[in-house]
Order: sequence, then C-alpha cells, then structure tokens
Amino acid sequence: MDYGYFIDGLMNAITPLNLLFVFLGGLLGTIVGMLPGLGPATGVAVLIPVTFGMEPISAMILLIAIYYGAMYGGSRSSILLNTPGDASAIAASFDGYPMAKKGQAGQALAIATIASLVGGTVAVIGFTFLAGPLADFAIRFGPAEYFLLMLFTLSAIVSLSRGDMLKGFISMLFGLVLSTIGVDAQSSVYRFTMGLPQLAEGIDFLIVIIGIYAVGEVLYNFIAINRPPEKKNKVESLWFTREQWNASKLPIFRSAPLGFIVGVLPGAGGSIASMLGYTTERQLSRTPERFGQGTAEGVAAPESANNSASVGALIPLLSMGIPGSGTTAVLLGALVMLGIQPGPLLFESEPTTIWTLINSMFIGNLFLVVINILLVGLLIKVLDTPSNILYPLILMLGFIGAYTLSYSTIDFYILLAFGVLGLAFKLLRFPIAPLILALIVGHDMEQNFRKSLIVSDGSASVFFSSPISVVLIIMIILSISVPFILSAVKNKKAKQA
Amino acid sequence: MTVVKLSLPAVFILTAVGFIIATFNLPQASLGNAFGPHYFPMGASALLLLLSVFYFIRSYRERHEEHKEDEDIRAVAKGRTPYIIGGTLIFGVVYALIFDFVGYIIATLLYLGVLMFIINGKSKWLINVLTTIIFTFMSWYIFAELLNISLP
Repeated sequence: MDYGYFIDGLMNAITPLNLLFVFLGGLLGTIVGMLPGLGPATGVAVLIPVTFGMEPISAMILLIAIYYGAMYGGSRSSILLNTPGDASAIAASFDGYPMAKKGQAGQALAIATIASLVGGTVAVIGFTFLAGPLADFAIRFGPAEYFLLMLFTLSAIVSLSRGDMLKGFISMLFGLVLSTIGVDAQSSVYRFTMGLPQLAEGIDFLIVIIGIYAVGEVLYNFIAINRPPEKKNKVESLWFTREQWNASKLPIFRSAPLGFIVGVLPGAGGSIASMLGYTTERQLSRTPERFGQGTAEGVAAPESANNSASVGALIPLLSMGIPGSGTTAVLLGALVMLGIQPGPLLFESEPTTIWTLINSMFIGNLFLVVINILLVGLLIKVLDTPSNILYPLILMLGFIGAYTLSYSTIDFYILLAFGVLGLAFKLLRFPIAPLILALIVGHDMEQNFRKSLIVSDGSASVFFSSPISVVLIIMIILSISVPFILSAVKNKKAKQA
Repeated sequence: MTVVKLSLPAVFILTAVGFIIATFNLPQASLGNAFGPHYFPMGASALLLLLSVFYFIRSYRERHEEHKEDEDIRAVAKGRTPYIIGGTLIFGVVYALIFDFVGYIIATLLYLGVLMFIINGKSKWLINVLTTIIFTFMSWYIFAELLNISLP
C-alpha cells in the first residue's frame, strides 16, 4: 500500500464538495432503497443525468454512495412495513417486522444500521487490500482469459438467478444478440443498424437501463398502485439494549466477511449474502426457535452481510472491469459515460481516484449511520409519499435522463419499448440482470473472442493454453452444472422421503 | 393468458430469426477474416432461437397449469391498471412526437398532467395539477439552469 496515494485520496475525499456528494448520495440511496419497488439500479439509472457536468471523481463518489446507501435504506421498509425495499432486504423482514410489531421498531432500525456500518466498513477494508492485487493479477489476462472470465460471469449470473435457468439463458442470449448491433470494431462492417445512423455505435445501454429499470419498474408498480397502503409501525426507543447488542455482535462480525466473499463472486449479490447470513446464524444459534419471532441478531446478520456484499461486488467491477450483478452493470455503464474506464489499468493510471473512492466509502458509511439513526423520523415520512404521485415523477425523470444522453426524441421510443420489455420480463419472471450484463459485456466479449482466435490463427486451443483459462473453464462448467446436480439430489431425497 | 405468456418467447424467436437472416446478408469484411463479423451474432442468435423455441413449446404445453406469475398477469387486466399502463405508453409516444415542437415545459405539463389524471382520477384534481406544475418547473430549473442541459 502506498501511503502517498492514501493521503492524496483522503484529501480529495474530504473536500467540502465531495463530502456533500457522499452525503447526498447516501441520503438519496437510503431513500431509493427504502421505497418499495425502487432499488439501487433504478436509483442510479434515474440519477445519471444529474452527474453531467460534475468532475468524474465526484460523480463516481455520488453514484457509488447511492449504491451502498440503498443497502441501508432497504431494511427500513422491511422493518416498518414488512415490504422489503429491494431483494437484499428480504431477510431483514423475517425478524425486523416481528420486532416492530413488538414495539421494538426503533431498536430494530438501530441495530440494522450498526450492522450495516460494520458490514460496510469491514468490506471497505477488504476492498483496500484485495482490489489492488486483483487488478495486478488481471493485468496478466490476455483476450482469451477475458473472454472466458466474461463467459463465467454470465453463466454464474444465469445459474444464480433464482428460478428458471432456461429463462436466464434466453435473457442473456437476447442481450448478447442486441450487443452486436453497431459498427464492428475490427472490420468496420455495419451490423444490423437498419440504416439508422443513431445505431452505428450500438444501442445505448444507458437508455436500455433507464427503460428497463425506471420505465419498466414503474409500469410494473402500476399494477399495485391502487392497493391500500400497509400499516406502518411506530418508532419509539431508538437505542437497542445491552442484551440485544451482546446477542448480535458475533453474528454481525461473522456475517461481514461472509457477505464480502459472496459479494466478490460474480452472480451472487446482496440478496444471496443476506439470506446466507440469516440462515448461517440461525444454524449457529443456541436458540434457533427465536428466529422469526423478532430477535435482534436475525436483523443484524443479514444487514451486515448485504452491506458487505455490496462493497465486495465493487471489486470485480473496478479492478477487472467486469460487473457481477445487474446493479454493478448499471454502475459500469454510468462510469464509462463519465469517462472512467474500470479495469486493471485504472489502478495503475489513476491510483488517486481509487483511493479517493475508498476514503469516501469509509466516510459515507459513517454518514449513513447519521442519516439512518438521527434522521430516521424524517426518513420514514418519505414512506408516506403516495406511490400514485411518486411513480409518474420517476417516469418523467426517466424521460429527461434519456433525452440528456443524446438530445434526440428517438430515444423516447427506445425507452418506451424497453419499458414494455422490462414489464414483460417482470410479469413472466424472466431475470433482467443477465440481459443487462450481456448487453454491457457483449461487445468486449466478442472482440476478445476474435482477438484470441487471431492470435492463435483460428485454433480453439488458445482457450485452454494457460492455467488461468483452464481454471476458468472448470468454473464455467461447474456454474452451469451445479444447479442441475443440486436439483437432482433434491429430487432424489424427496423421493426417498 | 396463453397469448400473453407466448408473446414474449414469440418476440425472442422473431428477433433471433431476424438477426440470423440479417447476418447472412452482412457484407464480408475487407480486413482480416471475411466472416469475422458473422460468427458471434450467428452463434448467439442461433442459440437464442433454439432455447426460445424450446421455451415456447414448454409454455404452450403447460398453458393450463397454474403458475406463480399468473396472478400478476391477471392483475394487469384488472380494474384501471390496463388504462394506466396503456395511457402511459400511448401518451408517451405523443410526448415524443410533440416534444421538439412545443418544448419541454408544455410537453411535460401535458404528459404528466394527463398521467396524473389517469392514475388519480378527477377527484384529486388539485394535487394532480399542483404536482404537475411544481415538478415541471422544478425539473426544468434544475436541468436547464443548474446543470446547463439544454431542453427545447
């Protein structure tokens, strides 16, 4: 570790403007995380245009703060309303809501916040030590290794997308097909542009992201718009008891590294990390029967794990340039547009940027505690915002965002088309993340595939020629076959029972 | 129900077929391998076609079975939801058509106003009107004035 860069980064992170952006990002993130139906991906997608004209590093600080802030916010609505703000906050509702019903809403909120702080901070420390070496390692990757790594990421996200793998593969392939639109980088052949100059550079994936995550999400939420609102629990004492802390501290510190590892792996994310944190603690507990009845450690463990996972997921994104989830794919899209190209070279050419980000994440986690504990009274008023006013406004922000990307109303049609597609995906339970990920990495994947074949004169042996490639191929095969093996084992057990 | 469920795989199948045909019609590259630009789209769309057809057939066979997603799909057609979703899309197209001619403020006032009334009905007209006006002018101020993004 180079202390010079660390100090530079710290100095950058504590300029008043950057502090303001971390705070704003954390606050906005908390809010989008809290609101049911709006996740970090939607939040980042809708707010991308706001970062226009900012210094790239400030914009990056803001967007990433929204991303991890949303993890804090997600548990607010799980605890108070029993409606998780996003998938990674589902586990927090198992014990959070029963606690709230017992009149311990404030304590649940506080312990969730502290757990999030520990999880987030542990993961930032992990990031500090792991991201650099991983970037050094990734710099040795040739085109063949990159192609296989991307293939592994895609296959992992498909096999981990809950439910149907067939739907996951279709979603991924659809993304890959769309990613081939535009001028081919190696031969300058125009592909599938239908003569439209707007398509020469391919479909702008930010439009697709805003279309699917903002418009599609709003359309989907219109289905439930006229349902009566949930009854909200009151928040009383905002501090937890000594017993609650004693019961929770080990689960918090155990779940943080667990979540971090899950986060670094492609495909898995906050939702898997928090479930894993919850079930692990229930198994380790001497009183597992108390889980689900409103026990503090049942809130603490998943919250620690999912915050840790969200920071962990930034590692492959920033050090290898490969996102492992839908939300980090959205972040990648935003960063590229800001002129920041994540990948091993970023660590070499702009170490100050990385260290500024690391320091801002430490500060951001502290801010988020302030936001989530001191401002909790104010924040839960946000939950009162009627969805029938909120959703049309988010839709409009989506339109403005799309317009600012290219100043062309043609993008409005693309936006609406992908909104409808997003709605159809949601209705038919097709996973969206493989599509977004494939669309974003598809172009590089194809280029790397072809470059490797050029290097090897067309021989496929190039994909087996280095130890890294062989390991990656084994991982790809495992990621695809494990779900089948698991379900076969399950069926066998079910038959025996 | 069956039509709704089969429409998405149908879109995938049509997309795949479209891309396969278009790939055959791609010009050969003058640099490097003449068919270099062809392999990847051909492979991806052929696989997409295969899996989508498989999914289409599976959905068709299972059309009488009850699935988790069925409740959501029925909810789309229930009550005012189809009007809200349909209205959002139709007036979204109108918004795109008039945007450049009447400018951001008028177009947004109209679109958001219409949306608010479709969603909330006439009885909440005051909230609808206020939200529309406040949002339109505030967003215009933030984007056009503070962020220097030129809106028509």
